[in-house]
Amino acid sequence: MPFGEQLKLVFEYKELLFASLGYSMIIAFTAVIIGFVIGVICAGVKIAPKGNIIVKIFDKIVDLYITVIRGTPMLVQLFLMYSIVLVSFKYSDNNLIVPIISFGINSGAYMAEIIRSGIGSVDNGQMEAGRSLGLGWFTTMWKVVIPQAIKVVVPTIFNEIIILVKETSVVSLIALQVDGEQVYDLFGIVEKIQMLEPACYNATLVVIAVIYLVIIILLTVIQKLIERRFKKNER
Amino acid sequence: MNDKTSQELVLQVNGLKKAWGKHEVLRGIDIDIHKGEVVAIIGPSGCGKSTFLRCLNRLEEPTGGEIIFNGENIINKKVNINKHRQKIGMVFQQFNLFNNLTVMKNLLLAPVQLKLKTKEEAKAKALELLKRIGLEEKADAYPSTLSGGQKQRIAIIRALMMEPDVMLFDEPTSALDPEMVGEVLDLMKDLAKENMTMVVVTHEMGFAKEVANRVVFIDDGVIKEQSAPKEFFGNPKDERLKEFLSKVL
Repeated sequence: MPFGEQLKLVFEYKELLFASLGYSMIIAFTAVIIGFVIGVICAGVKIAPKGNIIVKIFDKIVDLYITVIRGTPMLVQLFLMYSIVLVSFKYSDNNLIVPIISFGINSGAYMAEIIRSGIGSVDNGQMEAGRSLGLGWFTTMWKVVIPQAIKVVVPTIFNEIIILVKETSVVSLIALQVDGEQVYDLFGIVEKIQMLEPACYNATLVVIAVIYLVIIILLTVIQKLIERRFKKNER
Repeated sequence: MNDKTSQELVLQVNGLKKAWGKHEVLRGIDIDIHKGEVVAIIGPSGCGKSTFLRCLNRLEEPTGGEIIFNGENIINKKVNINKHRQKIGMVFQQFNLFNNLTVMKNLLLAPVQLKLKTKEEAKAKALELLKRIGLEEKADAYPSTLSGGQKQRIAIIRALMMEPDVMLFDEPTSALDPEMVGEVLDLMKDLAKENMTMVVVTHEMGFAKEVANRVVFIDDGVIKEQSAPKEFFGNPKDERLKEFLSKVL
């Protein structure tokens, strides 16, 4: 079948495509939020003054978490979650939570490192100046150090978000259920459409690629807008 | 200039020690600093003079001795060091203005955040101080647009916003281009004239000679010699000090 006709046929499934786009985005962006929250907490533990034993214990836990998550493939983590940790969801009617949690936990490790290094990039003199005026550690962090770290961290955070959005395509390897019905993510839908229209495989792939590309371009535009906003603070 | 210093003690340091692991940087420093006194601290690099200064407001945690400030031993872990730091101003070699804030917000942050002044009071005070150093038109500028000399003068008035009892200067002119050293030293001289109590770690022997009431030579983690500048530079007794002065003068 000529490519043009394949495309036409693919567009007949636009409702299915949009639905799968929706699932991919729900998984990706909920995971981003979870990852960001985990990242902030872990980075907070890593930079907190190591005064007492509780902070030290948490510090070790965070180290272990980051090592394990960064040291194993995302796909392996997803399957471990699906088959062992969150196995009770495996045959439930709603299991979208499995990839959401898996990707969130995965992203959290990377976010933690990004945020920690961003805060570390701010000259220690800024903290010392705040403390020398009698401001507390937290106040100085909040009013002086973090605003400067955000500027450094934004491009890398977006890099992580972009990678995560694309990496969610591996969920096509597990069977997603919403209200007892099987649903598909953006990459999983390729197989589904191929089953319905075996001749349109190539066109489906191209369409999916373009959809991913558009999402990433949109994210990049948002990134630039945020970066410009922080640049204005300079002079 | 000795006549203006009173007998009232601002800082009393007894047997101050600081060690990094086994390496002893400060091996027992004793010094009394009186109200209105300007004490210049000199010494070879690595002698511990900056560490000594940074111990005074506990930016470095001393490992021994005591520092009495406002009747309290501030080395004691139980004291609220933040409270005492409000009254111990510090000026850094690298200025350390808050880069994310305008000049005005740099000046307002601590007094307003700590509820020492209302925003209006603090603003009025900040404008008055900015006017004094001739930089009132820079109120809304960000630090990155200022020259080194301007940054350091603003760092000084940022410390003044807190109305400190004593000001610590950690090599305040060492990071400046030569043509900007003068404007910073002039401001420091003015403060000295107004009876501000100052402890100044410096390489500016001219400043030590002219402005200080007392010059202190730290070497190898202890005070080797201290006296009025005339005696200090005219008739040094310690061998290491003689050697040091012959190199820097």
